Amino acid sequence: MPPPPSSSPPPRLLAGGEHLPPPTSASSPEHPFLSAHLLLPSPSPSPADLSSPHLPHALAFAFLTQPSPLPRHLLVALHAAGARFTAFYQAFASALLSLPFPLLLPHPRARLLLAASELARAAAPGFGSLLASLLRRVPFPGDARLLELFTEHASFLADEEPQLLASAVFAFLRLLARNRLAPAPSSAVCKDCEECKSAKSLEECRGKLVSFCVSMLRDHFQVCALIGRDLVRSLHELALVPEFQPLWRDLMPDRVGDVCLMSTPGWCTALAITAEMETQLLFMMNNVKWGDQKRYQLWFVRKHLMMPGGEERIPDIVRFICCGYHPTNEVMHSGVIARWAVIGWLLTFCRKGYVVANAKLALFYDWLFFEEGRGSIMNIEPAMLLMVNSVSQYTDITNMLLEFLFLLIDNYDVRRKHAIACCVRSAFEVLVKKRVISSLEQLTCCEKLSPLLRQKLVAFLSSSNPGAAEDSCGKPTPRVSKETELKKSVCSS
Amino acid sequence: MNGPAACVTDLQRGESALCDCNRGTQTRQLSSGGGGRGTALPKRAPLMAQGEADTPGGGTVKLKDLVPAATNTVNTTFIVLDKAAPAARPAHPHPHPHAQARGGEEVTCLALVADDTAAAHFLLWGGECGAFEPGDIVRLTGGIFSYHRGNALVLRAGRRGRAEKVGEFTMLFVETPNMSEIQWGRDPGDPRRMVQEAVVSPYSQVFKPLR
Repeated sequence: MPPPPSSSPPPRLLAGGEHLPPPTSASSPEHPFLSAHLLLPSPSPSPADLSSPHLPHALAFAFLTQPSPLPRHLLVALHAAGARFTAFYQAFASALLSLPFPLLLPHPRARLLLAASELARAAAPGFGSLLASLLRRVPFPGDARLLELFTEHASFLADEEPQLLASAVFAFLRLLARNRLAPAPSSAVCKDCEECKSAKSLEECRGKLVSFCVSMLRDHFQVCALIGRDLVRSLHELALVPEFQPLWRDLMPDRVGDVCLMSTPGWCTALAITAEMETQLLFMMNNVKWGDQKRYQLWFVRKHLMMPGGEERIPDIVRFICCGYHPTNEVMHSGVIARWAVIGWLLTFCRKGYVVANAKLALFYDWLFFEEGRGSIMNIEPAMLLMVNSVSQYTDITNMLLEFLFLLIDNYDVRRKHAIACCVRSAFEVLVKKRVISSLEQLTCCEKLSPLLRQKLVAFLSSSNPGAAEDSCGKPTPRVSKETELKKSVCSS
Repeated sequence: MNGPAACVTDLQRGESALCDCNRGTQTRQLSSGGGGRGTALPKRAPLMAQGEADTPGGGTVKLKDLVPAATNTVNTTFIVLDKAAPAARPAHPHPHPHAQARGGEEVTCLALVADDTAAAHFLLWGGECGAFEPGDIVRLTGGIFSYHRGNALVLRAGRRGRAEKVGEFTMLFVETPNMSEIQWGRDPGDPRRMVQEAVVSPYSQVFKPLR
């Protein structure tokens, strides 16, 4: 195809505006694409083009901007370069990943999906990271293409890229659970080409989405189990959806116990929030000092939570903070806003009852299956610190959390009630043992806390361990934590 | 505050007076900012999504080093903290190109902006009012810090400057000192220079800090 006439300006990839850097500015993410395009206006499979260092960006630019249908020579050039240079596909995928997705114009966005599926079809290096990053973007216009792609390559992915397939299942389950498929944020549609007009969104193919998830769970359960216990959390939220009910009857009962023993990996919790949310949350928890967080919180709320489906994101954000981000000791002692405080703020933002409940469940989820030596203490630390640090000024929060924890112990899984109680007890013990808190008397001796909950807590902590019950009656023991329990008994009596 | 205000020009005179005083402005600004207060430019680079690019016409300054001057040579990067409601005012005899003519009125909007050294009031004009939101990281090139309409000391892009959104959220800031809440006077030793005379208010009096 001949290059466009030089008189017309090159097409744009990103939504522009008078107050955004123009593509000619080095600070625009479009700049490397435009520069490469000017050098290689229409990349072809010729040897000269193939060896050009500008080929990945030039080809990406042509791929994303050429009108429909996509010229065949671009596909030929893509695979010719990929066959010749091992790092080419990766460079091509990285170029595509460097574009800020929310700013992509509709046509380039649809083409990005096409490029991703072309790379996936060829199982080219780099396709995994590209698809994983797109999964974090659902829902977006035209996202049904992702579902088609995963459906088409499911068996291949199950064998070769199980983590990617598990990611897709998790991203889709979260979408179903979270949004109940509220319409995707509306955005301009490319009206010029059939290719874009025919692109469907996941909200239009809910049935297919559900049956994809169900069949993956049935056919590739071991792959789905890579998600860890958040798989069960997600399926619980969908337990009332008719298509998921047979799963709960025949597939899940035998497997829930095993899956719940597996901590959800960090990559999984990051999938359920957008890249911008992750960047901004990490910035708050790594850089923003205590007392300076108000404006950042306001901006975060305005940008991510005050929109349809925004509040429903909170439980996933809580999971990300608990499991997806474990700060170093250095960060924890640098005076920046702590994880528990961010979670406390998010909880106060929840308005809908079911969101509050899901957010609290997200916060305590790892407590319910905590085993010393197996679970990470960093997963359970935020809930403990939030309860302890709220007790003096925000006693309501501590009361609410503690009450919810007892509710969970008794009701989350009635058949495993005893095991869950043991895990929660072990979580409390380890948190004291590892000095996350100096002692539980901060809760058991706190006058402000509801007396009923305090009694319940004392009874709960000593119930399975008669020795501990005796300690709380005033007998000193050699164990470090027991010494503080002595005081506890004094204050609670 | 009205005393020194009269010394430095408002938009119209400031920009028409450009040719008289833009020689050597950059060094003057930096030396009066740094030398006058005996402070050096901070060593720590700001945390932001995208680095500051060097712009033609001079290096970048921190907000703390702003000195009122009738020159549009301010290159800096800041984060928008807050934005007031847009205000329409009768048009100037020489309207600002960015200001939308709405029945002969110019739309402006005052914003609180800051970097890791100081805060300032930034005056958005016309299309800029809708283009920037709190939390946006903005790079200003060829901006001007002067008294607008007689008494409000504001930073703005001016007719020749440009404000671009280069990121969002990921930048640290301080809300005090606010360079727009400082009273400036002529340096007795060098009447072309402005020096800080007094702090009118440590924080913005328009946008109260959120604590």
